[in-house]
Amino acid sequence: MRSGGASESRLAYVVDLLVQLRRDAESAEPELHRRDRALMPEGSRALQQPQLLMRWLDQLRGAGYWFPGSVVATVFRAQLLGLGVVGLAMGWFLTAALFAYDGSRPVNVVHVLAVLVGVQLVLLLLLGLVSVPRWMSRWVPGFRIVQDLLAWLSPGQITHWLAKRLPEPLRAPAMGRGGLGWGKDPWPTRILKWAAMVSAQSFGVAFNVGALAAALYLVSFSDLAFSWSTTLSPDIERGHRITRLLSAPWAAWWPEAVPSRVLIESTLYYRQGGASAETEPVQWGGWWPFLVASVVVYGLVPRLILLSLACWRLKATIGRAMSESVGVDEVVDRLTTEVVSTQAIQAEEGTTGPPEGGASLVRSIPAGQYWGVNWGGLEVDIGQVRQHFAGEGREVMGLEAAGGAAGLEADSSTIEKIASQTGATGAVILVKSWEPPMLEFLDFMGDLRKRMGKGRRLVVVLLGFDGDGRIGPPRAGDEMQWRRRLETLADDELTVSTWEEEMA
Amino acid sequence: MGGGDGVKDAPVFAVVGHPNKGKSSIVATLAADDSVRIGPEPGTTRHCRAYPMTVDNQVLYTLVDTPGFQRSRRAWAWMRQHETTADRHVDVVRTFVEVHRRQALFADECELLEPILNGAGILYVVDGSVPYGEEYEPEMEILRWTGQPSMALINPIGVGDYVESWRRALGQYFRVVRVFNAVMAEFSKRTELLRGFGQLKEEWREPLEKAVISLELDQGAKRLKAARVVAETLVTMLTHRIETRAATESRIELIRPELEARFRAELRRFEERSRDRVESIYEHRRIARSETMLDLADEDLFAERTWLAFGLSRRDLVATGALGGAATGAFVDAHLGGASLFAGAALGAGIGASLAWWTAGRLVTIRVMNLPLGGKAAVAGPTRNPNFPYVVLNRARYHRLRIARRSHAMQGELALPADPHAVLEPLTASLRRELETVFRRIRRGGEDSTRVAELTPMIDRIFAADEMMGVAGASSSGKA
Repeated sequence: MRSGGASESRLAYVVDLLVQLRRDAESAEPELHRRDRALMPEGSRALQQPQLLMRWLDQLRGAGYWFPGSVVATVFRAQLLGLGVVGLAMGWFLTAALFAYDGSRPVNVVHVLAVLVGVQLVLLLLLGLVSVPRWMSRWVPGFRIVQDLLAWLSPGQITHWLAKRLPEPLRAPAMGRGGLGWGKDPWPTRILKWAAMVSAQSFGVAFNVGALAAALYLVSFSDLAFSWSTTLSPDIERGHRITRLLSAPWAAWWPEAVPSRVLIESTLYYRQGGASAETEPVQWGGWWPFLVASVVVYGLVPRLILLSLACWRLKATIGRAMSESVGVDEVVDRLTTEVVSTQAIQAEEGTTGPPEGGASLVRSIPAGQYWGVNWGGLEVDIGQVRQHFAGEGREVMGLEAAGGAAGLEADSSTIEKIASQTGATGAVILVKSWEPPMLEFLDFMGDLRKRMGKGRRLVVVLLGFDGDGRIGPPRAGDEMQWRRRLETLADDELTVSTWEEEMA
Repeated sequence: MGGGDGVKDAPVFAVVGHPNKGKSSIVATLAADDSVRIGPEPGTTRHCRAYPMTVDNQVLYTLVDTPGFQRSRRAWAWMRQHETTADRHVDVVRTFVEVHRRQALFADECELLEPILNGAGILYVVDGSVPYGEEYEPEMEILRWTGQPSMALINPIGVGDYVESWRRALGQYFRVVRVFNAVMAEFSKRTELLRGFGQLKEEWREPLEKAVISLELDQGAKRLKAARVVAETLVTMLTHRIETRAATESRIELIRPELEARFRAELRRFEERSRDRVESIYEHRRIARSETMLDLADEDLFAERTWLAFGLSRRDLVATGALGGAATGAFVDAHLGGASLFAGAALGAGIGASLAWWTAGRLVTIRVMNLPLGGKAAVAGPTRNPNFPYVVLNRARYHRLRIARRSHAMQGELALPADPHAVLEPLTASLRRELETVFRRIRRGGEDSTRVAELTPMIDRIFAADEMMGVAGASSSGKA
């Protein structure tokens, strides 16, 4: 398991998950199922979905898979720390510069408010404009262009800058580039968006904390004088109304931080004449509670709210990405269902090409006297055979049995009988074409040829059967199968014919 | 033989018989493995090949494909010569194998008898479409001498019907005789046969029952995976859009046909990819595309015949549009506490029906947009045609049903009726309403993964219903 805080750890896990889902997208599902199921220890399969996925990623890591999640989480942590330090320093030094007082001219509270509060409020307003949903922006002409421009200027562009520098497996999905169709997963970009928001608001909080710390330090350990001035004719009443309005959020619980009319009037500073001579020295410092309260309420609090919101959204987005990313359901299925395999482990031994040959064997049966062999117990008698072979000077002298239930002795006896008929032209062997030519039959043919010697013809006649089970012509496929097999005997005096041809 | 850890005494079944009588077809079907070579030549299988059925690497049973008998009469004659008493028959067979193991003469017989002598059950396969012949008797005698539990399977390969004569002959040699058409057998027949194997020996019943349960669960898991693939494809196709930029509107007009063609090609590609994934889920990896090119499932996505066969009728479309619109309107009514007197539902139904009617004929809509910094962009898609998701879904249903029902022994075209309505039940109005609601959400955009999660169980339900309907359709649809 990982070390580190829970949310950083979750970020690392979700990065790893997205990377692994992308890696697995191109692999065959059965292989992934086998791999994942084998990885998980027996007890872990009952875990809740997020824990199950985290355990799966741990197991993959243990199996040697490389994951960038820890690196991304570390970079994110370092980025937050860096932005915090920079924010603190900027807040401190900017406030120190604004509060600079050398006794010659008091600190202008209007400048302090403009920089520490006004700028931040403007930035919040711009953030609000960018955050308006795109579908809503179409109702205001030109609003989308403003949004595009602000988005381009936004620090959120850091997201894309960072995404371009992510480790390779994460770069494409983070940039929103999916494969063909399904594979365009929105979660990486959403996570990056909220991570950037957390970073930006962390910076904002740190800046305000730095500013407050500097202000309180300078108020506590130096003698500051605050004033306000204007080139225009001063309107004390209006100034009082504005400060009362600004102070409204804290007026009830910190009345000292609400500037009085007297304070406003007495701290009006004129370049030529300086301040009013009746102003009490203590009144020069009377503005600091108002300034501090303004930074807290208009600077720090909004940033804290936004930071909390961004952290909550980041956590929620990470949680949803863990359960809703494309491919997560498939992983959970793989981890929770059995791998059922019924297929062969070894590949089939060397495959042969499509069968060829069989065309070289002679089809026609020369005239002459033949001795018949019924191979395998065909239901034909000598009368049928003689009738079919009659004509064209052919004659079947007798019919012997071989093969089937006849026994090996019967085979030998048939061979001897035919071999001894030296006056016969050859032998006609009737076979069932629907049964395959087996080695047993080839043995018989070989023995017969050996005993008969050269110069006499062997004729294999293929018989088929019709729909009623009566003897008929063979099927084309069966005939070719027999022809190819008999060709392997390499017998020049071998004829392969069919029952149909004989009838013709 | 076999891999993984086996349960104690996991049964092994040797599939034996004459050459070319469908042994390998039986194995291909039972093992759901289309890599099994089923050749037209006798003796295609020269060596035993094991197909272990494993569940999480635990072997529950193993099928062994064997070479066919080649010289059974001669082998039987040798055994008869060495016969002593009936109780020694198996020893005679064992001696035969030991004596001839290294000789070419009985290489096939030794190879096929070896697993049986090691305890495998016998699955003796014959072709029920050709007449019974006496030449089978020596090999059946040899198998009987081994004394192993046995079952005869009559596998009708061709058109003839000699099942009864085979049954009479086989009944004298084998305890159980069953008819099993390997090419036409669906999943339920496969599991039924496996349960039958369990009847051969008491100790085999439990692992085979466990195997059947695992196979049934796996079949359900495959259906769900296929449903998810189809849901993902639908979401992708309904949200897909392509964009091209040009300086002027006249230039856009020039590239409009090309853009439309590209859009259609990409939709076809999504569908093609989905098919590959579904076939892979059902472990069909060798289906040649050319083999099914004339099939309706492979008719072009945009062909008129496809839309007529798979789409909703215009009347159904209007009704579906009205249902979807009414659902939206009813949502408004509910929020007004009925104060609208259901005008929302009525108005929604009217608008939905009109939209469905209006957009029914258009598939690809190309919009021309002005770019912020000058120039124009032509955007094709997403398609708003209300019939399109139904055409895609029904094509996917038809394809998946074909694949799910396709035996792994099948090397030709699967004979499903040309009219998909004969095997696919039309979607009910309530189902169309559910689908239409999700299709509208998809078109509105947002979370793709959520839409997939919504669609998947609905499609799984449709697939499950298709399987029930498909069985009826198949049984009335003739043969392979």
